[in-house]
Amino acid sequence: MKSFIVMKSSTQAMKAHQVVKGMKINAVYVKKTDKDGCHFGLETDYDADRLCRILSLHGIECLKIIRTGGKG
Amino acid sequence: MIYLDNAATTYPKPMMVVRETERALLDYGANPGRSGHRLSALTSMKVYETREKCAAFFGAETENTVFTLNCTEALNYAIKGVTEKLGFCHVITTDLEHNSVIRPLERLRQQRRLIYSIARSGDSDEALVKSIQSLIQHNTRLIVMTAGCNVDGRITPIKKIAELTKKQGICLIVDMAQASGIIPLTLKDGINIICAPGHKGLYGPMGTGILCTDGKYPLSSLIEGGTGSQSLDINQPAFLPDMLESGTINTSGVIALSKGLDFVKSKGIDNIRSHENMLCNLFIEKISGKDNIIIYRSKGLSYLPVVAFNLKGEDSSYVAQYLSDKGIYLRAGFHCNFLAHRKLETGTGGALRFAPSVFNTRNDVLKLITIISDFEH
Repeated sequence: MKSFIVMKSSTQAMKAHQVVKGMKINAVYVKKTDKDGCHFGLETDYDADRLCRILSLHGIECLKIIRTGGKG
Repeated sequence: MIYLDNAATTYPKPMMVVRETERALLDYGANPGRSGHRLSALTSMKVYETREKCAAFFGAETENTVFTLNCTEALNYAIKGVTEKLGFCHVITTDLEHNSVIRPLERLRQQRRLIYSIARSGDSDEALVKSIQSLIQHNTRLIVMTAGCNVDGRITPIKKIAELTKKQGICLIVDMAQASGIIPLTLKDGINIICAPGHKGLYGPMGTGILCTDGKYPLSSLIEGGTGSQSLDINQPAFLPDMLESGTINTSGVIALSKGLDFVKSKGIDNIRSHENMLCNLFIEKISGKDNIIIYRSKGLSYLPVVAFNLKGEDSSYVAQYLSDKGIYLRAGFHCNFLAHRKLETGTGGALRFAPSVFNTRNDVLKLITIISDFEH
């Protein structure tokens, strides 16, 4: 299952991307738009809840997780 | 041509900076932090890399590192942002400050948003610290001061001031316009906000500046607009760096600044300072023997590699024009700092400023000395 983890800014998403890259977790920096506006974040097939816990240890807040479906 | 106006902006820039500027314009041409396409993401990543390097350089968190157009803009964001959040208060600055510090303070004073006092730097670090201490009032909330004066290069005792501000719960904003790349000060030294240019001691392109904050003192925006984030919200984002980065940043400049930082790191700050100080000492040694020279330096003080001087009875601009005609470029006048010139008593003509960079050589200095020796009014 793919998930889109929303960060509050492009900079936070970039920071998150650097963290996961260092941990060899597969995630891509992406921008998505929905009824709430534009969001920058990471798209990943990794366990999103677990990833958010990891990111919070690096001071990165995950605003929400959107399950995008499909195979990772 | 011999360029000795590096306190205004360093020139030449390292070739790696020049090449990266070209590469940024050719290969990273999309708007960072705006679109979702691959080129925008790639450009965002390059900007982020510079942000990370600047943050590490000044001991800040990456998201608390903001890109501005120059140090003046960073200082305006810092001074106006912090004082807006603190409310009416008393601010202390010094008699060494550039107009980019004193003018925002004066503007805020005229708007009755603060009052400020100017500490006297005197002729020692102790005198400056004592003067600042004596000016602290019950409502003093901010000290904003330079790490090194842009006119005579005098270095201020920032670490001692930081001890004081930490103890008293006062915000400390430091103008590192001349000191960045020369003195290794960071937020870890007790500074709350550092403002720096990218185009001087960090050897980046003009149109780049940096604000780093430890986050203890909230800031507010001076201009509002598109940030790429929270697009459906009528309010400016309240988080950094977006709050202070409305509109498109100088993307190619910022990306190339990354190489400026690499250059400084590879040379080593201590080596750069040592080389430039050697050139200043050579200049002072050679020129001191002449009886018509005034050098604005005092014993017992520490200086950045900058030397303010005058030829007795000569207007500094006239001498600078003479040197320019001979292919030597120095800055004359008041250097946007009437406070320091008043303290140094440079008179109605201001002074000349000798400001070498890592690219200058002993021969540059010796040639300057020869040409000054030949000067006749």
